[in-house]
Amino acid sequence: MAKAAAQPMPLASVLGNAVRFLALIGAGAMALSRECDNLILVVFAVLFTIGFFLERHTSAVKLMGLLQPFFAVFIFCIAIADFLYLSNSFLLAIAHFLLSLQGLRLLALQTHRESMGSILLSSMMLLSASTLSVEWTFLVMLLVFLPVIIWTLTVHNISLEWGRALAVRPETEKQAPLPAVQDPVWLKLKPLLRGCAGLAFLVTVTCCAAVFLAFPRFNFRGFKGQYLQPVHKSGFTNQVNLYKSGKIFEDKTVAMRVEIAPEDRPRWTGYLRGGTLDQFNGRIWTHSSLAAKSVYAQKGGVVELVSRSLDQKKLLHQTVYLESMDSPILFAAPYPVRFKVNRPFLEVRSDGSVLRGHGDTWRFHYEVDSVPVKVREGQPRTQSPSPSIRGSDAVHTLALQITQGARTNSEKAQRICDYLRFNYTYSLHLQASSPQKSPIEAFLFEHKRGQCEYFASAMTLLLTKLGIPARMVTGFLSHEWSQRGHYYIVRMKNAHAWVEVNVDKKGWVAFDPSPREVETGAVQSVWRREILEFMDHLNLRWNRYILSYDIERQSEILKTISRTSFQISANLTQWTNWMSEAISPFKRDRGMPQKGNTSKDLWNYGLGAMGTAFLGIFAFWFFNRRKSSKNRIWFYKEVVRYLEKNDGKKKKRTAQTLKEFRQSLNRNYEGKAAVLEYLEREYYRLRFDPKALPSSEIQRAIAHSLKQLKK
Amino acid sequence: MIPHSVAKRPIQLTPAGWIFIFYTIGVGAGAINTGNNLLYLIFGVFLGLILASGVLSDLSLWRLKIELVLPEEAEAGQPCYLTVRATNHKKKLASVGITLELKGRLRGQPLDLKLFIPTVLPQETTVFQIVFTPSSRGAYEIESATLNTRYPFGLLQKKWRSIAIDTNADSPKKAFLVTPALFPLYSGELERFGLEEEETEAAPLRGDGATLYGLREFRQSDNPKRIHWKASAKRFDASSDDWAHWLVKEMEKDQDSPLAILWPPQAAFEGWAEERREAFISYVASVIWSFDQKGRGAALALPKGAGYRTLGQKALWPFLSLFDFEAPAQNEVLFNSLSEDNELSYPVLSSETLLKQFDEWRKGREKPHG
Repeated sequence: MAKAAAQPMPLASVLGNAVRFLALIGAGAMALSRECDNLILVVFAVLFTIGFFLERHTSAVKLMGLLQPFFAVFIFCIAIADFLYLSNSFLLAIAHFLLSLQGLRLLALQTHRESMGSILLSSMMLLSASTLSVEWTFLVMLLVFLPVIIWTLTVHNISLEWGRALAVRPETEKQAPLPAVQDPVWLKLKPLLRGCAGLAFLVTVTCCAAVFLAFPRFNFRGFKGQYLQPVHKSGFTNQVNLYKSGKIFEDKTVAMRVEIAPEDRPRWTGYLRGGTLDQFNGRIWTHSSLAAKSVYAQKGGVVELVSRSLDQKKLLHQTVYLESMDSPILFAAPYPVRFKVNRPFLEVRSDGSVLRGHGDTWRFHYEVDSVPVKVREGQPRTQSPSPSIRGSDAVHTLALQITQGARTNSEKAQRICDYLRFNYTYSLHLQASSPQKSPIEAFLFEHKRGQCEYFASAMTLLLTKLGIPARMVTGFLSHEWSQRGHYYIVRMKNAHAWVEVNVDKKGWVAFDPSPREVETGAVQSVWRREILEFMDHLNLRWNRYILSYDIERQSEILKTISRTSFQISANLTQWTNWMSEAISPFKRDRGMPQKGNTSKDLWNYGLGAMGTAFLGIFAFWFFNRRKSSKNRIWFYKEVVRYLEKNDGKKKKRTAQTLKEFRQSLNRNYEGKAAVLEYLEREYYRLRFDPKALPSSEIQRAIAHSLKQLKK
Repeated sequence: MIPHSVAKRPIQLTPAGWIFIFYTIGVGAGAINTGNNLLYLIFGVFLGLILASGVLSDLSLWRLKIELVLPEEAEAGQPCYLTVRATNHKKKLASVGITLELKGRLRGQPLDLKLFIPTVLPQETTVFQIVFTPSSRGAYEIESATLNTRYPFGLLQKKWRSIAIDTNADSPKKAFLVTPALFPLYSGELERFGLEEEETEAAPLRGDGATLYGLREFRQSDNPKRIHWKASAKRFDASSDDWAHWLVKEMEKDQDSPLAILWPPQAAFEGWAEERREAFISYVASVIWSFDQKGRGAALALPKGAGYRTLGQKALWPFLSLFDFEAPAQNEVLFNSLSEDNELSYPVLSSETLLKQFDEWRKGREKPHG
């Protein structure tokens, strides 16, 4: 046997093109995940183009083949640097490495081994895209990838086997394989391979759907390496750094989608509460180590946060499709009382925030019931205190001035909220302040503009100076309603901070001092909004039916199947009973079936008739099919009948052959003699030659000749 | 003959298949570990590809009939053609990407042959040829004939061992002879055996020789064994039962008696190199072939008492092909099984003369040209 390297490579150009196209789709899947670095994508595109044009220059391809290992080592080093210093994500570094390596490999596709390596890399690229992607476009890419990989593997295999057979031929017989466009065997083979690839596609898609639906979702999480955490560029963290905040407000990626019933929309406040932050070091807000207790899920994954019974009608039911985040906090309209999750337990802190297990930051789907509470916003007031307060205790002085005349904590909190809301400007473009100065003081006394975090920080600080317990709450504020899918789209830029104040007797009450304009998406043009809504709706469906498909859904489907099959079997039993009664003469004589069952009887009659008709059609088709496949000389009787009819007197004797009978008639058939001879010849061939096969073309020719004969 | 049963077509994983299986298991393990449904989708796709691979490879071999027709004999050093007739009995599906593997031995050395059948269309028969050049004389014995396919993806290999070999021949066989390589002998070399190159050929006469003289119509006194069936069938008229239309063969009269070559005793070959031995066999074969071409014929003879045992035209070539210098006892058995007692009435070339002429011929071949 000749070695693989020495084997000729038939269909080299077809295989090369297929491999390149497959790599392109793999790269497309990665690009559509929108996580890969644009620079790497550009590098891939450049290498791909060079490889495409380099294909014709054999010496250059060979040179690239020699240099490839060195470049591969170089790319590997870059990937390690990327992981350690740049992207800081293992999955993303892997994706970048695969893209670069594939681009490099496409420069030198000389042998079957290299082609196979490239095919394997493309499948790894798709795999990598699956760890990055969260959108429905992945399905599109998968459905494009599938037929292409089937075709590529088929061509690769045919080329390899062909090459092996060519390699064992004697030297005198060896010929260089023809280019595919000139090779008659390939031209004959190509449509057949396409058909088989179509069949393979159907089998694969069916198997894929079956595995997806039926394979049990264990979700072991046995290996929870920190490097396998989801990839994202901006996130929602457990702290607020006033110097670094702001980036998240420019991020348009979707953080979650919240489904509520359309009739509940008036009760939707837009606020989605996450965690609280109660410790401030002048720059960074963090949360103190609050006592947390684990609340275990009851039957159906229900986690009750409140022990007392609640009026179900007053609860706001939300279904949340949360994307992966840096924080394990779960979001809900304030204040959540019941969660339904596919986790064994949830952690509930004393501040009311609810968390998944530590490190569990993947995409998550849950249902939550909340008692909707309105977050207090400000009201314009005519009086405003002088802003010219300075000094080491300026914040305290300002707090006293604002709350002058207010008696209760609630009143004081409302005064401060109003003051901030109507005397300060909401802005994402912050002016730089000196690092020595507290950012809150700069906000209160100098710039007077900032984001929600500045407003919430200022209010919390002012209240704390007055001795009123207050804390900052982080979460989201969104009113972007999708009319098509009946859900709220919550983006990263909708991240928000507000304040909770411990008001006498009422407990913690929420105040929002930020004069933030809430985007509803109405400013966009109609057609653009429609398209974006449609795309997002697809994403929700993708999230609901594919990404969030879990063991509960599987058990639901199983239950539905079992219920339906039980129903069908019950119907069948009923129908069988009725049939046995109907055909029993004894029972018929006694007047059965009874009155009042007319519609059911009609239905049963109809079913019976349909079943019988179906069986009849099937039997007719089956026996006819058997007959037609066996009878290779079906036209014989027709030719004999024609001859007998044409003569009018003579009948063919049993012992006579067709030829003898025709010659005994001694007639001139004019233009039909050739047709008759052809039919006779085919008859003898198909009747007596065991190797003769009635191919479809011959059958067509016979049918055509018979038609001509009868004309 | 036509593969129907699935159980008879065993599946074997190829190296690429093993890699793919482990890769799929890895993806499945990743999916189970992370609960990422997209990984489950890809896992399903990979499993589907394996399933499709199994289904399509089986469909490719299903109802495919392969017949192998062996040549009567082949010559060492010359291309040899084995005919393969592939018939696809399926109604709709083509058989694609099939490899026929023949494992065989020539003089004890393994010689494997391979044929790639790109496609056989449904309800059609396609004829292929395996071309190979046997390097030495002997009997090429087919030990196993396997039909296998790695179609469509090269992950699985399906095998089918039941292949019809020479089913249409009178006596089905699994081997054929590879005769020694023949060299052209020049006029001077032939003259030494009493056969002149420029011999004028007289007009042939009808007789009982082995060469066909012509055809004529059948007469009542003719031996029916001499009827030429093919030529008669061409003239066949179904409307007439007149047997005067049968054609019979007329043979030429043999003009020259054949030459009997006395085979040297085993002791004569002692100390000979392998290359010299094979050259001797080729030389004898070439002499016999040249005599045959000239219409005289030749025979090999071994002394037996006062008379000889001879190998006639049919037995000559098997003897020359299978003669083993290292196994005299086996040669004896072979000779006895092929030969017949004969009182030679034609000239005998002694083995000493033969060896002498072989040495001269060899020296002549070793001399540089010009």
